[in-house]
Amino acid sequence: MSLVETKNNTVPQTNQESTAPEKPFRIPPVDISEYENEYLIEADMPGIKEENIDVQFHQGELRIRGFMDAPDEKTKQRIARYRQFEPVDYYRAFRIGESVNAQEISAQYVDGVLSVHLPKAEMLKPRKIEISRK
Amino acid sequence: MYTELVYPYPFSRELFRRLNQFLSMPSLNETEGIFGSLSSGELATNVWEDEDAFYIEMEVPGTKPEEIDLSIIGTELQIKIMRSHESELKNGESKNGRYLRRERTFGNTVRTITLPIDSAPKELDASIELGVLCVRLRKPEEAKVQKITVSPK
Repeated sequence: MSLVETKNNTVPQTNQESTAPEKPFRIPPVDISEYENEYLIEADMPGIKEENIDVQFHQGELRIRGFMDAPDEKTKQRIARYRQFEPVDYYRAFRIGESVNAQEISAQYVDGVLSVHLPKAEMLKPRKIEISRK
Repeated sequence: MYTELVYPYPFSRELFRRLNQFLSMPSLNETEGIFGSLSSGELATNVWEDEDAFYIEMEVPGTKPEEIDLSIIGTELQIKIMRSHESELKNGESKNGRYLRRERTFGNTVRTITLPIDSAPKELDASIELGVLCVRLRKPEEAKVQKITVSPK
């Protein structure tokens, strides 16, 4: 059983030019939720230092990436007895389109969980329309 | 050599995925990638060993120290994790949120790791670093490698 999924033919046609890394990488599991004014993507990316996280929004596509540090000398001397995860990078991309306000995207990384807040574009926000009297 | 017990999480990742597919995704679609394959509810674990100790690493993203319960039963290390879904639609600006996709697992998990030693390890220290639980179990003296020098007659 491998935790590492390499790039394969799952890339949809709309995204011919893939930005996925060439090296083996892990796809973090995510929760995506929608609120009145924003979308929230929460990704489990344990073991990554905050400075090694890269969140990019480009042409309607959100890319999250986490670079894993190489194991240090002390760790290298240990013998693996059982392995279910490897120290590989994380990568995942989402097609967002025009539905968010790209300038206002923000992200936090706490205890191995990356949260990306994507504020909705003005046109998608609920708007109350006043009824005017004649 | 190592045994594991995993309490199955009632809703598998696959089920959520299918449910989401069925309910059709709005504007937020993933453009690439397939899921890593660990069985549902299982937390990825590595076990390492060196001369002095065993090292257990378990991925517990978003878990607080008070949600983890470690105990040693004989030569087994039992790791109990109560992962509450803290952000449960509260992180957003308004409380009226809804999920478009759910892949992360929460809930309670118990995992037992049998150590290949005869007597109980005495010293244990544990910490959570960047969402990874790191447990170090110092080996008891008798479990350490004994060096025997061959002397000439």
